[in-house]
Amino acid sequence: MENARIYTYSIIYAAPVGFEGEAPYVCAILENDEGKRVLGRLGGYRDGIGLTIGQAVIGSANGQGDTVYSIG
Amino acid sequence: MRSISVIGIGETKMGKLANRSLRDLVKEAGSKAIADAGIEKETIQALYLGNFNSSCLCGQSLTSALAAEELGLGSIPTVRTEAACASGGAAFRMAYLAILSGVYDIAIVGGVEKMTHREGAVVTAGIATAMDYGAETQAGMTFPGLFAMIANRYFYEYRDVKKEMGICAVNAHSNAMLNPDAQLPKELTLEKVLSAELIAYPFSQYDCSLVTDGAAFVVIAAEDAIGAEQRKRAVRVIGSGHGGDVLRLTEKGSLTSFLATKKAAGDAYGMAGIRPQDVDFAEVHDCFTITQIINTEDLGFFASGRGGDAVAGGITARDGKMPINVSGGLKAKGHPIGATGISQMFEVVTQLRGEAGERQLKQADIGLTHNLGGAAAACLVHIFQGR
Repeated sequence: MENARIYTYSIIYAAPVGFEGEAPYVCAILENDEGKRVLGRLGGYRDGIGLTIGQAVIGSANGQGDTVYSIG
Repeated sequence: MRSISVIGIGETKMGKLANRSLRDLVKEAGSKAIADAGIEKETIQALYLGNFNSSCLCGQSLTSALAAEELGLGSIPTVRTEAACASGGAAFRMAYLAILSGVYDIAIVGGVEKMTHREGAVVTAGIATAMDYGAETQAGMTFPGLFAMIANRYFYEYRDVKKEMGICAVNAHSNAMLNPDAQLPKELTLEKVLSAELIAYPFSQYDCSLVTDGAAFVVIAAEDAIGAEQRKRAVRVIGSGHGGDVLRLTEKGSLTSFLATKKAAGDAYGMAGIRPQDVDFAEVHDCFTITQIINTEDLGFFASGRGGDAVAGGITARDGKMPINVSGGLKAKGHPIGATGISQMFEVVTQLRGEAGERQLKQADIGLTHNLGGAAAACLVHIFQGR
Protein backbone atom coordinates (compact mmCIF):
# COMPACT_ATOMS: atom_id res chain seq x y z
CA MET A 1 0.00 0.00 0.00
CA GLU A 2 1.52 3.33 -1.15
CA ASN A 3 1.44 6.51 0.96
CA ALA A 4 0.34 4.77 4.13
CA ARG A 5 -0.36 6.90 7.19
CA ILE A 6 -1.29 6.00 10.75
CA TYR A 7 -5.11 5.95 11.12
CA THR A 8 -4.84 4.77 14.73
CA TYR A 9 -2.47 2.70 16.84
CA SER A 10 -1.76 1.11 20.21
CA ILE A 11 1.45 0.12 21.92
CA ILE A 12 1.07 -3.43 23.20
CA TYR A 13 2.82 -4.02 26.57
CA ALA A 14 0.92 -7.17 27.63
CA ALA A 15 1.50 -9.43 24.63
CA PRO A 16 -0.44 -12.62 23.80
CA VAL A 17 1.15 -16.07 23.59
CA GLY A 18 3.73 -16.23 20.84
CA PHE A 19 4.54 -12.51 21.02
CA GLU A 20 5.81 -12.20 24.62
CA GLY A 21 9.45 -11.54 23.75
CA GLU A 22 8.51 -8.75 21.36
CA ALA A 23 6.66 -6.37 23.71
CA PRO A 24 6.40 -3.46 23.69
CA TYR A 25 5.39 -3.32 20.03
CA VAL A 26 3.11 -1.12 17.96
CA CYS A 27 -0.05 -2.36 16.26
CA ALA A 28 -1.60 0.13 13.90
CA ILE A 29 -4.32 0.60 11.35
CA LEU A 30 -2.77 2.30 8.34
CA GLU A 31 -4.70 4.16 5.66
CA ASN A 32 -3.72 5.25 2.15
CA ASP A 33 -4.98 8.13 -0.01
CA GLU A 34 -7.85 6.01 -1.35
CA GLY A 35 -9.09 5.23 2.18
CA LYS A 36 -7.96 1.58 2.06
CA ARG A 37 -6.93 0.36 5.50
CA VAL A 38 -4.71 -2.45 6.74
CA LEU A 39 -3.96 -3.59 10.27
CA GLY A 40 -0.49 -4.71 11.14
CA ARG A 41 2.65 -4.37 13.18
CA LEU A 42 4.67 -1.23 12.79
CA GLY A 43 8.41 -1.80 13.00
CA GLY A 44 11.06 0.52 14.36
CA TYR A 45 9.38 1.38 17.67
CA ARG A 46 11.58 2.31 20.62
CA ASP A 47 10.35 3.37 24.07
CA GLY A 48 9.67 7.08 24.18
CA ILE A 49 9.48 7.59 20.40
CA GLY A 50 6.69 9.97 19.40
CA LEU A 51 3.80 8.56 17.34
CA THR A 52 0.91 10.58 15.97
CA ILE A 53 -2.20 9.81 14.00
CA GLY A 54 -1.76 11.01 10.42
CA GLN A 55 1.99 10.40 10.47
CA ALA A 56 3.41 8.81 7.28
CA VAL A 57 5.07 5.40 7.58
CA ILE A 58 7.49 3.57 5.30
CA GLY A 59 6.37 0.45 3.44
CA SER A 60 8.85 -2.02 2.00
CA ALA A 61 8.61 -5.45 0.39
CA ASN A 62 9.53 -8.29 2.73
CA GLY A 63 10.59 -10.62 -0.10
CA GLN A 64 7.59 -12.92 0.40
CA GLY A 65 5.10 -10.81 -1.52
CA ASP A 66 3.94 -8.81 1.52
CA THR A 67 4.59 -5.22 2.52
CA VAL A 68 5.97 -4.49 5.97
CA TYR A 69 5.63 -1.06 7.51
CA SER A 70 7.88 0.86 9.83
CA ILE A 71 8.13 4.22 11.54
CA GLY A 72 10.17 6.66 9.47
CA MET B 1 -48.46 -7.77 18.68
CA ARG B 2 -48.16 -10.07 21.70
CA SER B 3 -47.10 -8.47 24.98
CA ILE B 4 -44.09 -10.31 26.35
CA SER B 5 -42.60 -10.01 29.83
CA VAL B 6 -39.77 -11.24 31.96
CA ILE B 7 -41.47 -13.07 34.83
CA GLY B 8 -38.50 -14.56 36.67
CA ILE B 9 -34.82 -13.78 37.21
CA GLY B 10 -31.86 -15.47 38.89
CA GLU B 11 -28.10 -15.17 38.95
CA THR B 12 -25.06 -16.48 40.79
CA LYS B 13 -22.48 -14.37 42.53
CA MET B 14 -19.92 -13.28 39.93
CA GLY B 15 -16.23 -13.88 40.44
CA LYS B 16 -13.41 -16.34 40.68
CA LEU B 17 -15.45 -19.36 41.77
CA ALA B 18 -12.83 -22.07 41.99
CA ASN B 19 -15.10 -24.82 43.30
CA ARG B 20 -18.05 -24.21 41.00
CA SER B 21 -18.58 -26.14 37.74
CA LEU B 22 -20.54 -25.07 34.65
CA ARG B 23 -23.35 -27.38 35.83
CA ASP B 24 -23.30 -25.89 39.28
CA LEU B 25 -23.56 -22.32 38.01
CA VAL B 26 -26.37 -23.16 35.59
CA LYS B 27 -28.31 -25.02 38.27
CA GLU B 28 -28.15 -22.20 40.79
CA ALA B 29 -29.08 -19.35 38.42
CA GLY B 30 -31.68 -21.34 36.46
CA SER B 31 -33.41 -22.70 39.56
CA LYS B 32 -33.56 -19.23 41.08
CA ALA B 33 -35.20 -17.83 37.93
CA ILE B 34 -37.82 -20.59 37.82
CA ALA B 35 -38.58 -20.20 41.53
CA ASP B 36 -38.77 -16.42 41.14
CA ALA B 37 -41.27 -16.82 38.28
CA GLY B 38 -43.43 -19.03 40.48
CA ILE B 39 -44.26 -21.41 37.64
CA GLU B 40 -44.13 -25.18 37.29
CA LYS B 41 -41.00 -26.03 35.33
CA GLU B 42 -43.09 -28.36 33.14
CA THR B 43 -44.66 -25.26 31.54
CA ILE B 44 -41.30 -24.15 30.09
CA GLN B 45 -41.28 -25.01 26.38
CA ALA B 46 -37.77 -24.12 25.21
CA LEU B 47 -34.34 -23.14 26.52
CA TYR B 48 -31.88 -20.70 24.96
CA LEU B 49 -28.37 -20.41 26.38
CA GLY B 50 -25.74 -17.77 25.69
CA ASN B 51 -22.32 -19.36 26.08
CA PHE B 52 -19.28 -18.00 24.30
CA ASN B 53 -16.40 -20.29 24.86
CA SER B 54 -16.88 -23.33 27.07
CA SER B 55 -15.86 -25.48 24.07
CA CYS B 56 -12.36 -24.03 24.46
CA LEU B 57 -12.16 -23.24 28.18
CA CYS B 58 -14.11 -26.19 29.63
CA GLY B 59 -13.97 -28.84 26.89
CA GLN B 60 -17.76 -28.66 26.76
CA SER B 61 -20.06 -27.89 23.82
CA LEU B 62 -23.85 -28.34 23.60
CA THR B 63 -24.14 -26.53 26.92
CA SER B 64 -27.82 -25.79 26.24
CA ALA B 65 -28.66 -29.49 26.60
CA LEU B 66 -26.47 -29.63 29.71
CA ALA B 67 -28.48 -26.74 31.17
CA ALA B 68 -31.87 -28.28 30.40
CA GLU B 69 -30.74 -31.58 31.89
CA GLU B 70 -29.37 -29.90 35.03
CA LEU B 71 -32.59 -27.93 35.51
CA GLY B 72 -34.75 -31.04 35.02
CA LEU B 73 -36.56 -29.62 32.00
CA GLY B 74 -36.90 -32.97 30.25
CA SER B 75 -36.66 -33.19 26.49
CA ILE B 76 -37.55 -29.61 25.54
CA PRO B 77 -35.78 -28.07 22.53
CA THR B 78 -32.59 -26.18 23.41
CA VAL B 79 -30.04 -24.12 21.53
CA ARG B 80 -26.78 -22.40 22.46
CA THR B 81 -26.20 -18.97 20.92
CA GLU B 82 -22.75 -17.54 20.25
CA ALA B 83 -22.17 -13.89 19.40
CA ALA B 84 -19.01 -13.44 21.51
CA CYS B 85 -19.77 -11.07 24.41
CA ALA B 86 -23.31 -10.58 23.07
CA SER B 87 -24.15 -14.31 23.30
CA GLY B 88 -26.55 -13.74 26.21
CA GLY B 89 -28.42 -10.87 24.57
CA ALA B 90 -28.69 -12.93 21.39
CA ALA B 91 -30.20 -15.86 23.32
CA PHE B 92 -32.83 -13.52 24.76
CA ARG B 93 -33.64 -12.12 21.32
CA MET B 94 -34.13 -15.65 19.89
CA ALA B 95 -36.51 -16.55 22.71
CA TYR B 96 -38.35 -13.24 22.35
CA LEU B 97 -38.87 -13.75 18.61
CA ALA B 98 -40.05 -17.34 19.10
CA ILE B 99 -42.67 -16.22 21.63
CA LEU B 100 -43.65 -13.23 19.50
CA SER B 101 -44.26 -15.60 16.58
CA GLY B 102 -46.57 -17.74 18.69
CA VAL B 103 -44.44 -20.87 18.49
CA TYR B 104 -43.89 -20.84 22.29
CA ASP B 105 -45.59 -19.16 25.24
CA ILE B 106 -42.93 -19.59 27.93
CA ALA B 107 -39.17 -20.02 27.56
CA ILE B 108 -36.12 -19.87 29.79
CA VAL B 109 -33.06 -17.92 28.69
CA GLY B 110 -29.69 -18.14 30.35
CA GLY B 111 -26.05 -17.39 29.99
CA VAL B 112 -23.03 -19.03 31.56
CA GLU B 113 -19.26 -18.80 31.41
CA LYS B 114 -16.56 -20.54 33.42
CA MET B 115 -13.20 -18.88 32.79
CA THR B 116 -11.02 -18.35 35.85
CA HIS B 117 -9.81 -21.95 36.21
CA ARG B 118 -7.62 -21.54 33.12
CA GLU B 119 -4.31 -19.67 33.10
CA GLY B 120 -4.40 -16.10 31.78
CA ALA B 121 -2.75 -16.88 28.45
CA VAL B 122 -5.38 -19.53 27.62
CA VAL B 123 -8.22 -17.17 28.55
CA THR B 124 -6.71 -14.39 26.42
CA ALA B 125 -6.33 -16.76 23.47
CA GLY B 126 -9.90 -17.99 23.99
CA ILE B 127 -11.28 -14.46 23.95
CA ALA B 128 -9.15 -13.62 20.90
CA THR B 129 -11.12 -16.18 18.86
CA ALA B 130 -13.80 -13.48 18.54
CA MET B 131 -11.52 -11.28 16.41
CA ASP B 132 -10.37 -11.99 12.84
CA TYR B 133 -7.83 -14.77 13.05
CA GLY B 134 -5.88 -14.02 9.87
CA ALA B 135 -5.85 -10.23 9.99
CA GLU B 136 -5.86 -9.49 13.72
CA THR B 137 -4.89 -12.43 15.95
CA GLN B 138 -1.92 -13.37 13.79
CA ALA B 139 -0.69 -9.76 13.83
CA GLY B 140 -0.29 -9.96 17.62
CA MET B 141 -3.51 -8.15 18.49
CA THR B 142 -5.41 -8.56 21.73
CA PHE B 143 -8.91 -7.32 22.57
CA PRO B 144 -7.49 -4.60 24.82
CA GLY B 145 -5.27 -3.67 21.85
CA LEU B 146 -8.22 -3.39 19.44
CA PHE B 147 -10.25 -1.20 21.79
CA ALA B 148 -7.14 0.81 22.70
CA MET B 149 -6.86 1.67 18.99
CA ILE B 150 -10.53 2.72 19.08
CA ALA B 151 -9.80 4.92 22.13
CA ASN B 152 -6.81 6.50 20.45
CA ARG B 153 -8.85 7.34 17.37
CA TYR B 154 -11.57 8.78 19.62
CA PHE B 155 -8.94 11.02 21.27
CA TYR B 156 -7.92 12.21 17.78
CA GLU B 157 -11.44 12.87 16.46
CA TYR B 158 -12.84 14.45 19.64
CA ARG B 159 -10.56 14.90 22.63
CA ASP B 160 -8.43 12.96 25.10
CA VAL B 161 -10.85 11.37 27.59
CA LYS B 162 -8.32 9.29 29.54
CA LYS B 163 -9.39 11.01 32.76
CA GLU B 164 -13.11 10.41 32.07
CA MET B 165 -12.32 6.75 31.29
CA GLY B 166 -10.75 6.62 34.74
CA ILE B 167 -13.91 8.06 36.28
CA CYS B 168 -15.92 5.29 34.55
CA ALA B 169 -13.74 2.73 36.37
CA VAL B 170 -14.01 4.52 39.72
CA ASN B 171 -17.83 4.73 39.39
CA ALA B 172 -18.13 1.08 38.38
CA HIS B 173 -16.19 -0.20 41.39
CA SER B 174 -18.07 2.15 43.70
CA ASN B 175 -21.45 0.94 42.35
CA ALA B 176 -20.32 -2.67 42.81
CA MET B 177 -19.96 -2.04 46.55
CA LEU B 178 -23.76 -2.03 46.79
CA ASN B 179 -24.22 -5.17 44.69
CA PRO B 180 -23.86 -8.45 46.62
CA ASP B 181 -23.34 -10.37 43.34
CA ALA B 182 -20.41 -8.21 42.20
CA GLN B 183 -16.90 -9.56 41.70
CA LEU B 184 -14.77 -6.52 42.61
CA PRO B 185 -16.46 -4.09 45.00
CA LYS B 186 -13.87 -1.54 46.08
CA GLU B 187 -13.23 2.15 46.43
CA LEU B 188 -10.67 3.30 43.88
CA THR B 189 -9.08 6.71 43.64
CA LEU B 190 -8.80 8.43 40.29
CA GLU B 191 -5.12 9.09 41.02
CA LYS B 192 -4.44 5.37 41.39
CA VAL B 193 -6.30 4.56 38.16
CA LEU B 194 -4.53 7.26 36.15
CA SER B 195 -1.07 6.33 37.38
CA ALA B 196 -1.40 2.58 36.67
CA GLU B 197 1.03 0.85 34.34
CA LEU B 198 -0.12 0.58 30.71
CA ILE B 199 -1.03 -2.76 29.13
CA ALA B 200 -2.01 -1.40 25.70
CA TYR B 201 -1.60 2.34 25.27
CA PRO B 202 -3.74 4.24 26.34
CA PHE B 203 -5.23 1.44 28.52
CA SER B 204 -4.12 0.20 31.91
CA GLN B 205 -5.77 -2.80 33.57
CA TYR B 206 -8.32 -0.37 35.06
CA ASP B 207 -9.71 0.27 31.59
CA CYS B 208 -10.51 -3.43 31.10
CA SER B 209 -13.44 -5.55 32.28
CA LEU B 210 -12.92 -8.63 34.42
CA VAL B 211 -12.43 -12.35 33.81
CA THR B 212 -15.38 -13.94 35.57
CA ASP B 213 -17.23 -17.16 36.36
CA GLY B 214 -20.98 -16.82 36.61
CA ALA B 215 -24.43 -17.54 35.27
CA ALA B 216 -27.70 -15.62 34.92
CA PHE B 217 -31.16 -16.73 33.81
CA VAL B 218 -34.53 -15.17 33.08
CA VAL B 219 -37.95 -16.68 32.38
CA ILE B 220 -39.74 -14.92 29.53
CA ALA B 221 -43.42 -15.39 28.71
CA ALA B 222 -46.35 -14.08 26.68
CA GLU B 223 -48.66 -12.19 29.01
CA ASP B 224 -51.68 -14.00 27.54
CA ALA B 225 -50.21 -17.28 28.79
CA ILE B 226 -49.48 -16.44 32.44
CA GLY B 227 -51.56 -16.15 35.59
CA ALA B 228 -52.42 -13.16 37.76
CA GLU B 229 -49.61 -14.00 40.24
CA GLN B 230 -46.95 -13.80 37.49
CA ARG B 231 -48.47 -10.65 36.03
CA LYS B 232 -47.98 -8.74 39.30
CA ARG B 233 -44.19 -8.72 39.10
CA ALA B 234 -43.84 -9.03 35.33
CA VAL B 235 -41.53 -6.56 33.60
CA ARG B 236 -42.56 -5.94 30.01
CA VAL B 237 -40.14 -6.05 27.06
CA ILE B 238 -41.17 -2.94 25.14
CA GLY B 239 -38.31 -2.86 22.66
CA SER B 240 -35.90 -5.35 21.09
CA GLY B 241 -33.21 -4.64 18.51
CA HIS B 242 -30.38 -6.65 16.99
CA GLY B 243 -27.65 -5.03 14.91
CA GLY B 244 -24.57 -6.33 13.16
CA ASP B 245 -21.39 -5.05 11.55
CA VAL B 246 -18.25 -6.33 9.82
CA LEU B 247 -15.81 -8.43 11.85
CA ARG B 248 -12.53 -6.73 10.91
CA LEU B 249 -11.78 -3.36 12.47
CA THR B 250 -10.21 -2.08 9.22
CA GLU B 251 -13.50 -2.53 7.36
CA LYS B 252 -15.59 -0.35 9.68
CA GLY B 253 -16.70 3.05 8.43
CA SER B 254 -16.06 4.63 11.83
CA LEU B 255 -14.14 3.49 14.90
CA THR B 256 -15.72 6.06 17.20
CA SER B 257 -19.38 5.12 16.69
CA PHE B 258 -20.64 1.57 16.32
CA LEU B 259 -23.10 0.78 13.51
CA ALA B 260 -24.31 -2.37 15.27
CA THR B 261 -25.41 -0.32 18.28
CA LYS B 262 -27.06 2.35 16.13
CA LYS B 263 -29.09 -0.29 14.29
CA ALA B 264 -30.09 -2.23 17.41
CA ALA B 265 -30.96 0.93 19.35
CA GLY B 266 -32.92 2.45 16.46
CA ASP B 267 -35.04 -0.68 16.13
CA ALA B 268 -35.58 -1.01 19.89
CA TYR B 269 -36.57 2.66 20.34
CA GLY B 270 -38.86 2.43 17.31
CA MET B 271 -40.63 -0.65 18.64
CA ALA B 272 -41.00 0.91 22.09
CA GLY B 273 -42.15 4.22 20.64
CA ILE B 274 -39.82 6.14 22.94
CA ARG B 275 -36.84 8.47 22.64
CA PRO B 276 -33.45 7.99 24.29
CA GLN B 277 -34.28 10.69 26.86
CA ASP B 278 -37.28 8.62 28.03
CA VAL B 279 -34.90 5.94 29.36
CA ASP B 280 -34.32 6.32 33.12
CA PHE B 281 -31.17 4.19 33.44
CA ALA B 282 -29.13 1.70 31.44
CA GLU B 283 -26.76 -1.21 31.71
CA VAL B 284 -24.32 -0.72 28.82
CA HIS B 285 -21.52 -2.96 27.61
CA ASP B 286 -18.39 -1.52 29.25
CA CYS B 287 -15.93 -4.20 28.10
CA PHE B 288 -13.48 -1.28 28.18
CA THR B 289 -13.94 2.19 29.67
CA ILE B 290 -13.88 3.90 26.26
CA THR B 291 -16.62 1.54 25.10
CA GLN B 292 -18.94 2.79 27.84
CA ILE B 293 -18.44 6.37 26.65
CA ILE B 294 -19.00 5.50 22.97
CA ASN B 295 -22.06 3.35 23.81
CA THR B 296 -23.79 6.16 25.67
CA GLU B 297 -23.34 8.35 22.59
CA ASP B 298 -24.52 5.66 20.14
CA LEU B 299 -27.59 5.02 22.32
CA GLY B 300 -28.48 8.71 21.95
CA PHE B 301 -28.08 9.62 25.63
CA PHE B 302 -25.36 12.15 24.76
CA ALA B 303 -24.16 13.82 21.56
CA SER B 304 -21.20 12.35 19.65
CA GLY B 305 -17.95 13.27 21.36
CA ARG B 306 -19.75 14.46 24.52
CA GLY B 307 -20.00 11.17 26.44
CA GLY B 308 -16.85 12.07 28.37
CA ASP B 309 -18.35 15.42 29.44
CA ALA B 310 -21.37 13.57 30.85
CA VAL B 311 -19.09 11.28 32.88
CA ALA B 312 -17.05 14.25 34.17
CA GLY B 313 -20.26 16.08 35.08
CA GLY B 314 -21.51 13.19 37.23
CA ILE B 315 -24.51 12.55 34.96
CA THR B 316 -23.73 8.82 34.58
CA ALA B 317 -23.04 8.27 38.31
CA ARG B 318 -25.49 6.36 40.51
CA ASP B 319 -27.02 9.63 41.74
CA GLY B 320 -26.79 11.35 38.36
CA LYS B 321 -29.52 12.14 35.85
CA MET B 322 -28.67 9.14 33.64
CA PRO B 323 -27.23 6.36 35.84
CA ILE B 324 -25.08 3.97 33.83
CA ASN B 325 -24.20 0.49 35.11
CA VAL B 326 -25.49 0.85 38.63
CA SER B 327 -24.78 -2.90 38.99
CA GLY B 328 -21.04 -2.25 38.65
CA GLY B 329 -21.08 -3.28 34.99
CA LEU B 330 -18.63 -5.58 33.24
CA LYS B 331 -15.85 -3.60 34.88
CA ALA B 332 -16.71 -4.41 38.50
CA LYS B 333 -19.78 -6.64 38.69
CA GLY B 334 -17.87 -8.87 36.27
CA HIS B 335 -17.93 -10.14 32.69
CA PRO B 336 -18.89 -13.83 32.51
CA ILE B 337 -18.98 -13.46 28.74
CA GLY B 338 -21.98 -15.57 27.69
CA ALA B 339 -23.92 -14.58 30.82
CA THR B 340 -23.26 -10.84 30.65
CA GLY B 341 -26.27 -9.89 28.50
CA ILE B 342 -28.63 -11.77 30.82
CA SER B 343 -26.96 -10.43 33.96
CA GLN B 344 -27.60 -6.89 32.63
CA MET B 345 -31.30 -7.82 32.41
CA PHE B 346 -31.17 -9.20 35.96
CA GLU B 347 -30.14 -5.72 37.15
CA VAL B 348 -32.67 -3.82 35.04
CA VAL B 349 -35.57 -6.07 36.09
CA THR B 350 -34.48 -5.86 39.75
CA GLN B 351 -34.45 -2.04 39.54
CA LEU B 352 -37.80 -1.87 37.71
CA ARG B 353 -39.38 -4.06 40.37
CA GLY B 354 -37.98 -1.76 43.07
CA GLU B 355 -36.09 -4.65 44.64
CA ALA B 356 -32.51 -3.36 44.35
CA GLY B 357 -32.06 -2.58 48.05
CA GLU B 358 -29.26 -0.12 48.81
CA ARG B 359 -28.57 0.55 45.13
CA GLN B 360 -32.23 1.13 44.22
CA LEU B 361 -32.64 4.09 41.88
CA LYS B 362 -35.37 6.61 42.68
CA GLN B 363 -36.48 6.96 39.08
CA ALA B 364 -36.75 3.51 37.51
CA ASP B 365 -39.70 3.12 35.14
CA ILE B 366 -37.89 2.39 31.87
CA GLY B 367 -34.51 0.60 31.75
CA LEU B 368 -32.31 -0.41 28.82
CA THR B 369 -29.73 -3.14 28.29
CA HIS B 370 -26.97 -2.85 25.67
CA ASN B 371 -24.87 -5.95 24.93
CA LEU B 372 -22.01 -5.75 22.40
CA GLY B 373 -20.15 -8.65 20.75
CA GLY B 374 -16.54 -8.75 19.55
CA ALA B 375 -15.11 -5.50 18.23
CA ALA B 376 -18.67 -4.14 17.94
CA ALA B 377 -19.66 -6.70 15.29
CA ALA B 378 -22.93 -7.63 17.03
CA CYS B 379 -25.25 -5.71 19.32
CA LEU B 380 -28.45 -6.42 21.21
CA VAL B 381 -30.52 -3.64 22.77
CA HIS B 382 -33.56 -4.37 24.92
CA ILE B 383 -35.88 -1.91 26.64
CA PHE B 384 -37.96 -2.87 29.66
CA GLN B 385 -40.82 -1.19 31.47
CA GLY B 386 -41.97 -1.85 35.00
CA ARG B 387 -45.55 -1.93 36.28
